[in-house]
Amino acid sequence: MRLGNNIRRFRFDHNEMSQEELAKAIGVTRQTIFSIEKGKFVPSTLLALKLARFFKKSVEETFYIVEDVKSARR
Amino acid sequence: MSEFKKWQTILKIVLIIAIVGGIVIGSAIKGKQEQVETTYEKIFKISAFFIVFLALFLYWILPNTKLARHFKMNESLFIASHILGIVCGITGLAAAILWQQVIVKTHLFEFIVVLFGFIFVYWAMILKARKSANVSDILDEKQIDNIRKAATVTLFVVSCILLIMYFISYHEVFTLEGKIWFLCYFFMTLLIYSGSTLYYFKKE
Repeated sequence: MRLGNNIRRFRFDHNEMSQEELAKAIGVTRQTIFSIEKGKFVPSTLLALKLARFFKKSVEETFYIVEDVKSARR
Repeated sequence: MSEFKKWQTILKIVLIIAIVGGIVIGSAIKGKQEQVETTYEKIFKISAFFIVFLALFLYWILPNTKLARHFKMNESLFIASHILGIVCGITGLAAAILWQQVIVKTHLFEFIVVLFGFIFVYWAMILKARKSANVSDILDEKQIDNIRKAATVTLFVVSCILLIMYFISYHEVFTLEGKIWFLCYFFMTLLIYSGSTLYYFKKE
């Protein structure tokens, strides 16, 4: 099970905001935003809430669980 | 007392103890030595005092000036610090193994460390300018997570490597002078820690 997100989509909907601009707005590094978007880094609850609040979305709209094939078959 | 002020007080006490202890130990050692100090040694000691006082000046004075608003941690500084750590680690380790006599007698170890030391004096200046005692206040959660993982990896890997080096040395395949063991441990830790941090920062 992985954590998926819609951050990249929200960024583009938000006047094609860059990762750098989003990182600056939230107070993290660009690499952190990149890693979250790629699903390589799971943000803390606080960071997830900050990101959701920035895009004026709920946490559930911003993040979702990606079921892998094995658990889906079960 | 706030955590920042507590940390500042502890730092001042440690510094005073280090200076007094250094003077006492230095005098004791000098009393036992019969050799004449070379010009190189004198120049080294003067340079060392100058560098230490410069670092202290930068740390205690600059964060209280208007320049402090320019002191910021960013991604580039984080990456540069760890690249420097890798470079110093490789240089120091190579010098410690290949030029065992030279690295100690010429104080090459101290010169390699000084550059790296100044980067972290700058980190301390950023903390002081922010009036914070927590590194987590200037690094984001991913950087803290990467550092924690790197520290764990470093502890394990360095222990394994030193154990292997001990067995090799025990069977007299390859020996290191007494003083070199610490330098090998120091530079190996620096190299693996900086390399791991950068790896996790970029790959995760």
